[in-house]
Amino acid sequence: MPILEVGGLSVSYGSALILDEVSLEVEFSQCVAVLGPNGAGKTTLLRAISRMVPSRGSIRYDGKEITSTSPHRLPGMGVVHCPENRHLFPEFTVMENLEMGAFTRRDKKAMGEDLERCFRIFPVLAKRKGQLAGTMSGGEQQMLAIARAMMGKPRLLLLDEPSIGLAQVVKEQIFQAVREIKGLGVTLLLVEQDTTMALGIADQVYILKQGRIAASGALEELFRDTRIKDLYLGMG
Amino acid sequence: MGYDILINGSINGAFYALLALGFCLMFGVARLVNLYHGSYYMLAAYFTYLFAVLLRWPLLLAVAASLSGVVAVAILVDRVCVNRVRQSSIAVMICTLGLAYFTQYLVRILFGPRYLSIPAFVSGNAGILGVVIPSTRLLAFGVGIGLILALWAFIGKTRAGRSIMAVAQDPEAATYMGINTAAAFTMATGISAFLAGVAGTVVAPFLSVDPGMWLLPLIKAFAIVILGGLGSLWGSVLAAFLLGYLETGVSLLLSTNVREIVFLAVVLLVLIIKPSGLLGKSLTA
Ligand SMILES: Nc1ncnc2c1ncn2[C@@H]1O[C@H](COP(=O)(O)OP(=O)(O)O)[C@@H](O)[C@H]1O
Ligand SMILES: [Mg+2]
Repeated sequence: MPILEVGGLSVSYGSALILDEVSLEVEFSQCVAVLGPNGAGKTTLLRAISRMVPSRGSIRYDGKEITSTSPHRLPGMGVVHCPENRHLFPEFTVMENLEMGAFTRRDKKAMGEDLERCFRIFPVLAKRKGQLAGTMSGGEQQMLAIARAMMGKPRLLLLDEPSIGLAQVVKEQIFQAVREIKGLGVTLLLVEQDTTMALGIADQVYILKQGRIAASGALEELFRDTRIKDLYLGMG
Repeated sequence: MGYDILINGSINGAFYALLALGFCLMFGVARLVNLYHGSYYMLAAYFTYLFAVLLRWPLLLAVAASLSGVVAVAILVDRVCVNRVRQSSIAVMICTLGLAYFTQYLVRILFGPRYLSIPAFVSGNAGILGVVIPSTRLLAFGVGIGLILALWAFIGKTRAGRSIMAVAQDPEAATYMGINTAAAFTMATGISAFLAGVAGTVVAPFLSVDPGMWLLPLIKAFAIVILGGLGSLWGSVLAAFLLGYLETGVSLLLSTNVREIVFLAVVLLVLIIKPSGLLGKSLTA
């Protein structure tokens, strides 16, 4: 059974239909990438899954319908959202941001271990524990956002454009980290515009265009289809 | 004279801090300019009058009931009115100002327009550094400082406090952390009303209680919060004490008639030099 099943998901803002009957599945401990141009509805899809925007259709997590679940209940259930534009707490320190990530948790000991793991994946954060998040560079902020999400002990991590606006070297660091996180057995739903990067991690790919799934499949299948490759993957 | 200003200024400062902190908290957490804030102060005094004088309850019980009553009113006002118009800050201001006047007239009808007095916990005078002050004012100071420190500890150390500060910075991010933002708003509303209510019950014994008593404290709280830097809790405390010393100093050296003007002039001056107020623009713990 997939850990996440989205079926016929539609979202409208006023009269504008932003997502039109989107369906997708994420298997346990896989990485599914949703690719697509700016404005395709990728962020809206993740926000609908974490119940930040109202939607029609079904969203099943762990076999349970979560469409009527309050958004703040999801992290406790293992669905953690690392949002677009990071949304750090700028006036909290690095450490305080990480503590907020573990807000719903009570398992002090495991939290300490997770913290050590975050510092292992992102050594720069260990050096900046006391720094205010708002004063860090873009790359460091993105690392903190991912680390903060990891402190929530996700089973399913929704990751929205972690590489956006970053220099190539930093992008590679971020993706190395995402690969490590996948290696820990965390299921990933990754949204990206940087196709090349995402393809290095994803097991399954969905291509979203104007609110609809335009293509989907395992990586190799999509690669064999040169039409898709040229049209959507931007690697022609 | 110097000690006079120091001691009486500190007492007034603690009182203003109690009033301003809640106003500041609501602005920081919900970006709400709550013009009903002064009414919490007034209602606490009238509740105390009702319970302690009319119903003759023991004072401590009367005060506890008054504070619970004020918190309940605040949550009710939030549910019935503020929450529905939160999207528009103008609507929130109009709605809370309207309710404040409504409450004033309601209180006037129920209790009459005359000045009332409510009993104090302590009587007599105390002397500090050669300055003689009424014990009630000393108690008000102790309670004020105690609550400021308690708020500081609550916000810095407790889970609930941290969640309020997280919501103040970024409600969406707070939700992603598993924080119930609606609960955080309600908690902030309750704390805010509680602090203003304490100001009303501990200070009212040495001031007069009347249906119009909400307005001046509201204006002062507003000015303090702007002076401290909108949303900066410790900026508000700083500004509150500044107002306390300034008012006391001006009253003693010049005249009580000009003290309001002097403070507002200082607020204007600071805003011209540093538009974001004394301590920046956002809520800092
Ligand atoms: N809050 C909103 N109100 C109205 N339209 C929105 C809102 N958020 C996003 N949109 C619109 O929805 C579409 C999809 O946006 P988004 O999900 O952010 O796309 P992507 O993440 O793929 O770039 C865009 O056309 C955007 O303008
Ligand atoms: Mg997006």
